[in-house]
Amino acid sequence: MKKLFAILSFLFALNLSAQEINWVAFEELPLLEQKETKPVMVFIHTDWCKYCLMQEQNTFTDSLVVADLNENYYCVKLNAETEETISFLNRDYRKNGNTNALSWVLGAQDNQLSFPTTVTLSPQFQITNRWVGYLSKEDIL
Amino acid sequence: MTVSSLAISQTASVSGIVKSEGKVIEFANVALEGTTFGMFTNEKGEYLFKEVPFGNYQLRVQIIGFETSVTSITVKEGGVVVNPEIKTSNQQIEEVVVSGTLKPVSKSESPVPVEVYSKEFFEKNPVTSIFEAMANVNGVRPQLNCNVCNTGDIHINGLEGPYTMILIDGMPIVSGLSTVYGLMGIPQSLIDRVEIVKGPASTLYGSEAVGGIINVITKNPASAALFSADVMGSTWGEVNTDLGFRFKPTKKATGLLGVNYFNYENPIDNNGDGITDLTLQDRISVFNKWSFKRKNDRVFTLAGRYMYEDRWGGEMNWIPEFRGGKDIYGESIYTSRWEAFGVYQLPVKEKIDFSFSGNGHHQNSVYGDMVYIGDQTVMFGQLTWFKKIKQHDLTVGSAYRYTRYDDNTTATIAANEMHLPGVFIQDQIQFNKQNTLLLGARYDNNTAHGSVFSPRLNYKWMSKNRKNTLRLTGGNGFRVVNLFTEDHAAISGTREVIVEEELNPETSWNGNLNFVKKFLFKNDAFLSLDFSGFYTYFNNQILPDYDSQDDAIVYANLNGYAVSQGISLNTDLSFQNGFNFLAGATLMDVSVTDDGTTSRQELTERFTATWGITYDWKKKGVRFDYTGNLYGPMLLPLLDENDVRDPESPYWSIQNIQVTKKFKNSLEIYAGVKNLLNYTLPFNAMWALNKEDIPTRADGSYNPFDETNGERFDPAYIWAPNQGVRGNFGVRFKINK
Repeated sequence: MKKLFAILSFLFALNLSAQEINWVAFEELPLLEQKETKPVMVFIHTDWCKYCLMQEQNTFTDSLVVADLNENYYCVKLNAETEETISFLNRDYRKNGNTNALSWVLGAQDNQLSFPTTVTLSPQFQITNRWVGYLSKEDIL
Repeated sequence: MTVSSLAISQTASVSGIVKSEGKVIEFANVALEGTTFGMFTNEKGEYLFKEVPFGNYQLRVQIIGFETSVTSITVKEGGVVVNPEIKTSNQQIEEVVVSGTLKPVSKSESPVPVEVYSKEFFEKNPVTSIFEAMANVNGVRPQLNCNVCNTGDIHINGLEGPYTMILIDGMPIVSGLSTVYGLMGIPQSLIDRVEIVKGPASTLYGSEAVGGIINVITKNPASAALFSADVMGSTWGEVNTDLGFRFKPTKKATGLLGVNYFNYENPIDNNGDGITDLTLQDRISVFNKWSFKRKNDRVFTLAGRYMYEDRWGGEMNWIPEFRGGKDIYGESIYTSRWEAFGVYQLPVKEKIDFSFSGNGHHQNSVYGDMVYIGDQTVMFGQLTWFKKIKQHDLTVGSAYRYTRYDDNTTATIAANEMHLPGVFIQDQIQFNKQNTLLLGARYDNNTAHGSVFSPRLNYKWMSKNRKNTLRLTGGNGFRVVNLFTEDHAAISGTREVIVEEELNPETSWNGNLNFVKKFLFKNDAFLSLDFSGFYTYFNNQILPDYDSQDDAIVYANLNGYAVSQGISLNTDLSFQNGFNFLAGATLMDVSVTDDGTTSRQELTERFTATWGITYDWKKKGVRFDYTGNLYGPMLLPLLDENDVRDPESPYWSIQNIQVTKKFKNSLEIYAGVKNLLNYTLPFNAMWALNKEDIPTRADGSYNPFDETNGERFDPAYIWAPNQGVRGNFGVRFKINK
């Protein structure tokens, strides 16, 4: 029985490691927070930014990082150059110039927006931390 | 029992409206601290808690982008109405900058292969103008056309300047006459980023986008620093000053004022040919851009720029009194130019932008005793409608360009006016995450040539892991010819311009294959290989013919075709420890086939390479940059068979190093050496004669006016800059808040 449990938990762990980050949309956040209170991690990126790709494919695929982020955060991916209007907290954030207004509200530091930028928000959606630049798995864990 | 019934009877409601600066705030998080009472405000900013037990509470309001507000309230009989006022947040949050980021070189994920270069890229080898800055980009070469006045044009993949369209914020502001002296006047400090498309793009941009486009995107006032300064000097005595100010006179308007002043007043003749090596320049550019905040984030920007330049080159002892005379040779050019441009998004539900620009260019030049006075006005307006319908991303537009040109030569006895209305449509179809197709077509009607049709097709495939991207491009470009404004040699006066027949518009057809492969390594290294193959066919390329008559430049419709073909590779290798290696190389062949004979195009290299190696030592705040380029031999324009000069340029290379030290308070000091190898043009770049035959005056100085041996002074024989090794240093400073 013990053995079986060990095998099962091992398989379960394997299964976990194969999982990806469970990205959610800004629109879903208020409802999710009402169900379970968790801080939010927002990954602000663009399609062309190489360090963004590196963070996505080297950091956000690491099983420990995935487990940690899925467990402790609601994770949102924000393409700063998206053409779509993002509705968050009943406001519409549109593309303003080259970037979506929300990426500025969340990501701009000293009036500059660089990519990637990773931001954490409290469950009340207050910005708690901001990292400008590439985060390796060591930076996150 | 008594207690609870008492509690039930002693409750009341708490309600109100959350506002900031008179506006209701939706979805603010309102809560009574220490209780389970909490909710988000509705679209009217309202909140309501029912049955709150009597007592004292802290009412907390939180919302992103605003300061948290806490109000003490007492709940008693009849309920409480509290309307919290919240302030826009200026809070300090914990900010961490980690290594490796910003935007060195990037490529947008559009189906059109666009290369994007940020201002950080150009800081690796800072120069004073957009013209010189282009030397850092693979496949793009700023070509100086005149040894004396240092005018130039920008070649893309071997195609000459007139085929390169230079846009500011997407608008045709630098064209015709201004490509001759206008390029030097665009200070690097204006740049937020530069987007380059190699290959025709006439479908979107109309005439001139034949060989490629360079789109200079100016800084956004809202994201500019409150104050910035960049002062750079060189051991040659060049001084470049850039100042930027951001101001916000009203809540809705943000302005940016940029002042650039460049001065070089120190004649140097290191190669001993009697002529200044570098043209003396005194130039001011004032740039003012505004962005206005509007409802629903609609766009409204307005920008204006004024530039004045006084430049001269010539014999070392030239002074302004000799201007236009025959005593001492000098080329002196006064340029004054204004530009105005903006974008206004129409206040309708659909996204429709109206972009508009106008510019006036006045040039007063003398080349020896030849006087050239030119005036040009360009007006441009474009309505563009952006519409997304399912997987279709539509862009529909109509454009109107008006050009008025006049000069004092016999070529334009009356002012030349040209109208160029056009309509275009483009559909970007996203089949799925991997496959995107872009179809476009444009129709223009030109005063001189009639109808011009330009279609395009782009296809992009991207692998699921986004590490492989393939782009296929086909399309055409056209250009309405305007000889007298585009070729400095044509107006420089040492040669006469001959037009043999009525010229047709030039059209080009291009095919382009681009493949980008990205590698991510476990040690957080990144490698990108960006390969392109290109083929452009001109069915009526109008080339200046310098050779058939040595005292003239002859223009005629090409009875044949021209081909530009080649391959290029850009590599980008980055490590998280701050090491970055960028290198690019292009192999190409540009040939002209006329009446069955094929020959190489003059002043066009077959091989070019550029590189930039950067080590960013973050801990010490020190950055090292080593940049350079290498050009293969080019055929050079000789006057005739008696011309003693080399018909082909050698391999040549310009290399630079720079060290930048960053201090905590946004202060940066940089110093470097430019042209380390001290490569310059030889003595004979100016004289088509042996040294002993060069006509001299009584005082021993060379005499460019002496024509006893035929006119042998020829400043058009030039392939590289004349400036040798020099030191370079500067200071950057900014206040962001």
